Amino acid sequence: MISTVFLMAPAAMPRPLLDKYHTALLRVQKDPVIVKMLDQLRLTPPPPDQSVADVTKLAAEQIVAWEKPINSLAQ
Amino acid sequence: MFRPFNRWLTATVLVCAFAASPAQAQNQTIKVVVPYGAGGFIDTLARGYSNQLSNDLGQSLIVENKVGAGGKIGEDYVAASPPDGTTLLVSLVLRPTLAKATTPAPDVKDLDMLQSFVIVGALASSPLMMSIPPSLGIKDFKGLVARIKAEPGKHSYGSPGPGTPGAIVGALLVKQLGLDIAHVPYRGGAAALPDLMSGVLTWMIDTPTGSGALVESGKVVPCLSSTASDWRPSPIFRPPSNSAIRNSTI
Repeated sequence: MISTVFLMAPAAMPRPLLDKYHTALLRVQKDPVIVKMLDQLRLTPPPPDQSVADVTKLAAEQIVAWEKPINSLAQ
Repeated sequence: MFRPFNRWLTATVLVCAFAASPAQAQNQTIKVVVPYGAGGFIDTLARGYSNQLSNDLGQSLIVENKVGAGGKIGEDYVAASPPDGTTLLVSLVLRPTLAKATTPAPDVKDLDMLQSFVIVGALASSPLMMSIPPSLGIKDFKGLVARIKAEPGKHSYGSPGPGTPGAIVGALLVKQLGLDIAHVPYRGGAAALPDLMSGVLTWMIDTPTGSGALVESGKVVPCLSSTASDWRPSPIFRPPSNSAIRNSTI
């Protein structure tokens, strides 16, 4: 059970803008300032060069992973 | 005969299309909404990434904390914002899922995060870590469970607040292990740490961002930490030599 912090935008944002921000984010993830910040915060950096599909799949998997134990609490 | 009109029409359509297109956001300030308070690790991440994205994109990114309802207010705000690239969100996708644990049948339908947002990218991931006070003198998680069972009603555990991952995992442990222990939700993980250090709390489940420095200084000891699918004896830190909180499994 881990939790990931995501950068998100309203669902209807046009694909060219999504790609622009996504590509910028991939560059910034490799920035030494960001690498150092994550290390200081004891956080795990995202895998390099994740596609939009990859991160969307990761988000979906985390929701599913947490749903099961939460549903068990309600029983 | 219609050429001038056609040219005018074409030009008008192009101008209107440009005005309504995402390119409009090219030079506008981008608002980055954090649905949690300033100073927490999500806020810190948002500010750090926003600074670097601002340099990369050549646009200003301003972080705004829109706090309330456990994160729902900020998330609702972004979901309802124009999808023109000028309003972004930094958050977990888990908030509505976690909220089901505290409000199984809410009056208002909550967001479906994957329907309401597109995921631009991941900023960082964090496991959860259970820490305990050194004053307990406990050697492993099994010892912790045995102590709590031997002293029913005497212990309490802290969390960063109702519906947080630490609170959910704590509730799961209580249920699965049949523990008689009270939950004390705090306003953020930092508020609970003094009580953990002093032994008022028997355990605290939080991110290593919150309690990592205390672990490294020996003021609290790590007991367990989560992986993507499991819990392990804390692999993140080398426990101080005077502690033996290892080799524990749930």
